[in-house]
Amino acid sequence: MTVFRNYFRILKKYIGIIIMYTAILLIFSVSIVLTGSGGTNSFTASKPKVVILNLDKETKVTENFMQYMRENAEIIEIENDAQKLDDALFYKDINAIIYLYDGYTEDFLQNNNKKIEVKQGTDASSAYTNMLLEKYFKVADIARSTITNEDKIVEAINQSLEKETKVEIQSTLDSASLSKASYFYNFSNYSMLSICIYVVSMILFRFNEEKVKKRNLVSSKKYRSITKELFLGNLIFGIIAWLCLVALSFIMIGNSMFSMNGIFFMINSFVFMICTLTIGFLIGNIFKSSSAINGLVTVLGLGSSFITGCFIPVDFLPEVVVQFSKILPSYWYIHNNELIKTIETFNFESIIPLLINMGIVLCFAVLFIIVSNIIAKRKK
Amino acid sequence: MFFHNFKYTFKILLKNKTLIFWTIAWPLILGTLFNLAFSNMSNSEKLNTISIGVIKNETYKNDQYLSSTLEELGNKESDSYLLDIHYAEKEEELKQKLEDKEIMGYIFCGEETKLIIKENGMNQTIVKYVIDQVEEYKNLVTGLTQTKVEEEMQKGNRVEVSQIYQNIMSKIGENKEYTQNIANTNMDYMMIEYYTLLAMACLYGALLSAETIKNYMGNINKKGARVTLAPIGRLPLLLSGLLASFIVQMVSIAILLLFTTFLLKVDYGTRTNLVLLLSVIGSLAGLSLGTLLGSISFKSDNTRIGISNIVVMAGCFFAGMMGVVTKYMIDKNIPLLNKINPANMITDGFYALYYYEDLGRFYFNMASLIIFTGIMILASYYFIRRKRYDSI
Repeated sequence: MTVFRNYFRILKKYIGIIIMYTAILLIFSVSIVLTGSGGTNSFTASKPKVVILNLDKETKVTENFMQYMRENAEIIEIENDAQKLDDALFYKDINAIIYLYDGYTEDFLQNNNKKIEVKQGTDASSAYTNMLLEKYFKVADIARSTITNEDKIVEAINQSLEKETKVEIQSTLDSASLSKASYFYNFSNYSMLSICIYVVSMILFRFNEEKVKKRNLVSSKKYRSITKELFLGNLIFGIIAWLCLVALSFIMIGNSMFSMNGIFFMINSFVFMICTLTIGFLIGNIFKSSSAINGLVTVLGLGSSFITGCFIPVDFLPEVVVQFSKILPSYWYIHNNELIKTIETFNFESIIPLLINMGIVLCFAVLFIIVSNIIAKRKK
Repeated sequence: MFFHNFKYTFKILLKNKTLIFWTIAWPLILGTLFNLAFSNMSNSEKLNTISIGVIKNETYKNDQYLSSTLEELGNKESDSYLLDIHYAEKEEELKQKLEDKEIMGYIFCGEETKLIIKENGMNQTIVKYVIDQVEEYKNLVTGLTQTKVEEEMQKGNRVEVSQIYQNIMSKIGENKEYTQNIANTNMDYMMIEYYTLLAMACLYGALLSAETIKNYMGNINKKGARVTLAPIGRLPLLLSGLLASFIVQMVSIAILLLFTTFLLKVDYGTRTNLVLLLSVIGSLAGLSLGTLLGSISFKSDNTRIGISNIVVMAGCFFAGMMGVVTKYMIDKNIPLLNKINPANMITDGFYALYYYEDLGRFYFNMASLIIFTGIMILASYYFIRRKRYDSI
């Protein structure tokens, strides 16, 4: 088992790279755990984040508006610094800044209202904030133009805005937690591709170096046994990397990983791990320079992650890109993760699409092995 | 001698495939990937049409308010088109559509109006808002009419209920806007990704100058030892080498700027001269970083390239390359880190030109870059100056 032992001796040299990609995955998984909330059996309205700068006095009219916004939005406290507020709006930390001008109450009661100045973002939450504001000011305007007493105006506004439609959720899935799991496993596409391809190809490159290869060929050890030990080394490395990934997912995601959905996330990632090993095998057999391998791993890892929905959800990608990405194994892996998170009952019918996608990933793996064998034979 | 050294350094740099890949090809590849991945991002985040089902039972048909509101919102010709409505007589049909994700939920009008959905989200909240609003306007009409009647009766006036009702209804029907959006129109935050790309390209100039400087260091490599023996002063040697690096770097930045502006349609704002000035100062910062890395003795060339890569990529990570929000989180929570991060100085400079009218922030970043460049040059001067070797 000399080759096998040597495999892990060389592997030690690349431990820095492995730690770096694992750290990136760790940072990402911590960030997905920190965002979003669980629990789906009851309806929770999405609340836009707003900053309200009340430059008017505290009156019943302004206080009522503040109360309405507190119920329908998340009021964010940020230092009243124009640049900090504008930055928060640009980076979508808040969806709108509302400026209640000095003298608003007086103008409102005397029907001299100017338009309320609002700085709003461009996303759906910002549009929703605008809807909330327009509705409130419209109701307030109609109430004020019909009745004269300030208290009664406020009362009329509140009475009309208290309606709550009943909302039922028809799903037994913990979709928030499963979404986190799918985000995690989608992102792991980048880590697995980078780690497995880099390590496998670099180690094979070391074994394929002319002097080393010649020494190996003249040694008493059979060539087939060298290949076998290399294969075993790759497989064991892949399994260890996969186990680390799965362990991290259990720590970060928790309960959902103990469900059938969780088991399929694991199986799917195992199949993909096999495929990444074969890509590394192919690259290690083709390239003769470590800097070329380095460049290719970076391009391949980042490239296929950007266009297959690993970093941003597939729904956000242009259709042409999605169609093109089907020629990459990453697409089928991520597509499968997206399917797994939506399956409520696991039976033969529901898992057939999953098996087909895994089959496609395995076909890619077989293809890469065949191509690298052809290339290796030609070189020989 | 100056021109001779300049010419050969230029040739050496252009023939180094690894350097050319990282400084010219890699930013173009990454920019293309950004474009493929992010071109649809801003549109996807906007409020788009929401697919919703409605059970067309008797109760729904009799509810004039709700049916007319939904009809208006579902009319493709209308300005307020928001909902893609799937009508059905039976609930099973819509249940299936909900399962197949053709719709995000459906409305059922029974004793009370219900919204049935699969999961929480912004679209679901907006549909609930629409149904709420219909009920709220009903409340408003009845509540206000009653209060107005009471008010008029207390004053002893003659009350015309239908007149009051008509007035309120006409006001509800009015299309009046109460708010005015005064936000800047340059709000596409994915631009930050491209600015980090330019920052990365500027800082990758470090690889060029490190390669050049390393070749003049007698204690680092044999070529350096030979060059040190040559009858040429240290200053013209360094200046000619760095000038060659600067020209290669400016060519790569010019290619990237043209590529991102004309092919990827990146918006750098309207102040082109300042964009170019920032690119030049950013490149100088990158070259000065490389001068320092080139003058320090490392175990191997790979270690030097590795360290350059880590410094540049970590800087770009904190400046928002792997997620725009990272930049904002760092700016907000650990501002000092981004104040000393050259990748962020460049990115933030471009952001200031794109988003802010006022140039204060832009000049602050420019000044920071100049200070950073000065520190790097002073530090490398410490390693390069007055080196004499008796034997290497």
